[in-house]
Amino acid sequence: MNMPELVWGVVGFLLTVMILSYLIGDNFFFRLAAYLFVGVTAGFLTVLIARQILWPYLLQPLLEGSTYQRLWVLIPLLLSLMLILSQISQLRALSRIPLAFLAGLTAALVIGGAVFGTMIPQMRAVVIGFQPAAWHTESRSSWMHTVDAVVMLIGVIGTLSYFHFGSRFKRKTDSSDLSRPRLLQALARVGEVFIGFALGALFAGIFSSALLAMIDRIVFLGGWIARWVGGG
Amino acid sequence: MKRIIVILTASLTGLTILAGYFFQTQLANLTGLLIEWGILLVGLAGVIGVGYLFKMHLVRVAHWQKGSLLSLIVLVAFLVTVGIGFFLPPDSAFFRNWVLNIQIPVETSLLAILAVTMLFASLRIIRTRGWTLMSVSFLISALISLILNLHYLNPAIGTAGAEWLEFVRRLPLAGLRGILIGIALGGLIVGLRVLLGMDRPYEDES
Repeated sequence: MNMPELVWGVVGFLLTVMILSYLIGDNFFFRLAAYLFVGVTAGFLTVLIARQILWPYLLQPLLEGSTYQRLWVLIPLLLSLMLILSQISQLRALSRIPLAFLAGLTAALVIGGAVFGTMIPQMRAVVIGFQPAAWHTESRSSWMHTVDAVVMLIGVIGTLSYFHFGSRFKRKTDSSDLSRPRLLQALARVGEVFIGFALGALFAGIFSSALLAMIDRIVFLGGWIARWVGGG
Repeated sequence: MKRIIVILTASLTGLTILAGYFFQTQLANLTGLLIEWGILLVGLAGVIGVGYLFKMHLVRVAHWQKGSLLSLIVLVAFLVTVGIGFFLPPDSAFFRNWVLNIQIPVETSLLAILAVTMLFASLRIIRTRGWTLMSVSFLISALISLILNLHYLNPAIGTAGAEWLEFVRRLPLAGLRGILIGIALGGLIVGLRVLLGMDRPYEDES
């Protein structure tokens, strides 16, 4: 093992012990490692933004680009200046234009992503389960496909019903009596079960990953201790 | 007047991007340019955020407040990382080692702590929420998924056992699809409200 490997190994060992010490309670060493992590990550983020975003999209075209490129950079330069200057409390109102630009851009990207990236593919996947032509591509029997498709449809409708908080106003009885339609209530109960299944599976996935990380750290610590004790 | 300009900026930007989904070839350059500007502003906002973090720790150190030693560590780690990152070439092995050999052990160890925390949290769910339909289905699903993730159950392909196992594996998908569609519907409504000027998150409420 050469010197840099040894040094980085010791750093990794110490940081692992410091973070894992949180298991016996919040302490100074845990916070030390956490603050070091915050500092390094903030620095890395700054370098990354400067090198991957600010330089290629703003500074390079401005300093080394053609006249046409420089003209096009004037708008983002102006927006950037407005955003920077708005940090001065007297000029706070300047941030509205760049933030409005960002809000409009993000809203449109969210709409596009929601419709074309999530809603259409997910609804298609539910509907396609009822299409017999697609069944022959898999090894499962047709009755199992039917059961699967029906359960999937009920699950999706139930889950959406669970999150439906609209209520019906009952005129004949007490004016404050607001209730969800009975069908919606029944579907919401079914949805509750399916949401439980979904969250349970997600929990199991994250828990498995976390457990693997724990095993990795224990193996790492064990390896280092064995190396020191063994003198290797 | 100022308000109209601001609302128009948000709406026109959003509508141009939305139009880009339908007229991809005609508007590709324009939408690409707008997205580049957006990336630039997000990056700049990130730098401003880091600047605030730096300022906060600097003030704490300058006034020697409680936790100033830890703040000093943040400042030193930040300055060293920025210094190495700017003075060494982008593909420098030392810079990579400096960042990764601190980030990876800390992140992995935090994930390891998460395993213990999640275990206790899952045991506590019954105590806080009681035996509800959701908590029971959550626990059953978590247990079955953990067993299935071990890959001990491997019935032969084409058998009834394999078909049922596949069915159980796919069961959480129904809820996940519902949740995803729900999130998408929420995103769609919020996005439309911003584009139509009904919600104006860019306005300073103070």
